[in-house]
Amino acid sequence: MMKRVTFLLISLFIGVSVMGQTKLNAQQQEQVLQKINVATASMKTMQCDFVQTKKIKLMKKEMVSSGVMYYDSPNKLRWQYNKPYVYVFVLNKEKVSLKSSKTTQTIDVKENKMFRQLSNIILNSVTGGHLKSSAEFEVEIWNSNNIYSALLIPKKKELKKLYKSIEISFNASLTMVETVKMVETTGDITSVTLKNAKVNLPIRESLFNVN
Amino acid sequence: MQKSIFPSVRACLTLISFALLLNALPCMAQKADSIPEEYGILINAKDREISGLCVMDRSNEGNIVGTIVNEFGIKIFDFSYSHNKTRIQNVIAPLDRWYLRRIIRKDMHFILENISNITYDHDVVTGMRSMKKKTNGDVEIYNRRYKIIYTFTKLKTAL
Repeated sequence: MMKRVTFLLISLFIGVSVMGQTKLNAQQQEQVLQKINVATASMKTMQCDFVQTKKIKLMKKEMVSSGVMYYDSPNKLRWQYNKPYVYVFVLNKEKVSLKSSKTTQTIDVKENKMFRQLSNIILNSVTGGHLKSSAEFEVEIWNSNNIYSALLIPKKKELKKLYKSIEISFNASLTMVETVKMVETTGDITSVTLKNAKVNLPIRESLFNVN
Repeated sequence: MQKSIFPSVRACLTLISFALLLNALPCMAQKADSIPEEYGILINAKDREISGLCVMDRSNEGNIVGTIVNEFGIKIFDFSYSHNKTRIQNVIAPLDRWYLRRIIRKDMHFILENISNITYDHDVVTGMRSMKKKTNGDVEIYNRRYKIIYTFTKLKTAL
């Protein structure tokens, strides 16, 4: 009897955890991806606040940082941490500038593979661009109470070494990325939540200066 | 006579509660016994600079676990210090070479042994490594052999 009750309870717990989460079939997935593509194509600029939370497996502790983000399509991005440290990452076409309280560096993305990848990850996560690059990720779209999220499983060796999966959650109207959750192979989880997003408002060009 | 189901359910729920409690214990223990330390870190080696964050938990017994990540949260490596031994693990691919791991491990050993005790008026020098506290509060560690400078800046706001 004890075994039966335990089995029942375990089944119940598992049932609850996956209840309401549905993986879309190929046709439904294509429709959702199309909606996202239309929305991202019409996004010329975006600015928002963000909160980044890193859960470190080894320490059972969370690191929380926050800042602001500016994006100007197709390849200008300012990702600025304000708390608890100041750090500014600016991507302007092929150049990246990194500014901390101690140092400033300018890097040519073409000549630096690591920064090329980093820039791509940030840019594509924010814009949902990863969903188009089927060469890099296996994409699954999930629906939970009409909130859609994309589960990306890396295909390439280099990304596989870093990430187990990347989960991108969208707002209800599929026009905006809301959360990006990166599960690392080490068990650490980094989540970035975008808030107070404003789309297609003019952004000062000087924010993307790299020199 | 058939046994009632309720004692079994109760036993099962007790078991689950106990399991949940056990699961929560490490977090509770960590909060009570450890002091988190957070630093901004700048590593300068051969005209190249890497910046990031160093977060560590030090237990009352002096054991340390921590991690170094870049500002985006990408892990550079994890480290631990216990019984006078330092281990590093989960090293990011570009640094994951045996000779680099050895340099990092030895430098981290020196850093972890001394960083919490360093004072303005007393530099620490051991072999090829030295540590000093600068007037702005930063702690600078210099590996003379490989010409690597580590600068640790204590973060004021809790993460």
